[in-house]
Order: sequence, then structure tokens, then C-alpha cells
Amino acid sequence: MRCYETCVIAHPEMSETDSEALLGKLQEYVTAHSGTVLKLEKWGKKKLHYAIKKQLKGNYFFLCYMGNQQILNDIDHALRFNENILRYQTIKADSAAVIAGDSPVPAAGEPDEELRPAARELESTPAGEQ
Amino acid sequence: MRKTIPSGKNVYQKRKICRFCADQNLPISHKDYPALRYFVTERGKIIPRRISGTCARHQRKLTRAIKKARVLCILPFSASSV
Repeated sequence: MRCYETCVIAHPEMSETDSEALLGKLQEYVTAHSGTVLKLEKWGKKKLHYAIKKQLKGNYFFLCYMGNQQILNDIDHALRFNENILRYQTIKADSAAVIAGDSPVPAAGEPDEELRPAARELESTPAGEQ
Repeated sequence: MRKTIPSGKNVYQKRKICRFCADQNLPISHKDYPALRYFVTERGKIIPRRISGTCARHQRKLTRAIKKARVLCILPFSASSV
């Protein structure tokens, strides 16, 4: 079992129900192959530094989990053939850092305060509290 | 640190300190835009370690983090002209 983190950039106009369904499905894939979800975060809509599929904004989701190759294959397949997904990236993560909650709040692009109320709240809390 | 300039003179320069060695707890994360921004130019190029003072080990980690961040649109590959 290894720790992986997947970051997904979804279409900015993706509906709430669609995104919830997608996240539910991803979690299902992880648990189906006896993996565990360590972290699931919604970073919200943020400005992209360059256009992806002609979109200048993206809806960010972040998933951290312990799992195996089968989970990666399933997640990869689910995201690759979903038209609402602009981009995704899965990398091997340091499980100790993730469990310790050592995940800095991302701030892609220019700080876009209006679009990121949730992230602003997180920034105001000290890192140790998370 | 002593350096010899082309005219043959010795110039003394203060040695730059790697900020990641100075503070061992400072994480290098590809998601941390405010921290990574410090190590790229306005146009999005990675600043060489001879200028930033980062040590070789941490510059390698930093470079990988910046390249991952570029894929996720957190940093630009190349910023358009200002």
C-alpha cells in the first residue's frame, strides 16, 4: 500500500451534483480495493495560469489515499473519459506528511479572493490546527 | 567566499544560505504557490541556484515541485509579456 495524491481540475461550470457524484465515485474506487481515503479537499474555483481546453478558470479537487495499482487504474479511467475534467495529476506522496496534515493551502494563479472564500478561511487558521 | 573576477582581483562576497537548510521544517510542496513564486521569475523561469543560493539537493526538489505545479496550472510555463 502506498500513499498517492490526485489533484483534479474540473470544468468551472460543472454542476454541484456532478462534482459530488464524481468525488463519491473516486472514493468508492479507493474503498473497493481495500484502500483508505486520507484526505478529500475542495479548493474551489481558481484562475488558471494558462488556458486548458479554452477555459481560464478551473474547479480544483484534491484527494489523498492509501492504495494500490488497481485503484490508480480505475481513477485514471474515470477521469480520462470524463468531459468535465480539464486535467488531473496523480503522484506518489509522503504518507507521513499527509497524515500529519502537512498540506499547505494552495493558491493557484493570482489570489482570487472572491472565488476562494473557503481557502481564505483556511489561511487564517494556523497550520498546526488542521 | 572569495571570488576572482576577470581583472584578476579578489572580491569578497557574502555566502548565500539555502533557506531550506536553514529551516529544516520548511516544506517544498508543489501546491504551495506563495512559496514557489519566490523561486521563479516574473516570466515563470526557474531561478538558478547561483542566484537564489539554494543548495543542490534542495534545488533538485524545488525544480521537481515547480514542474509539477506547472502541470496543475499553479505556476505558468511561460507568462505572457507584462
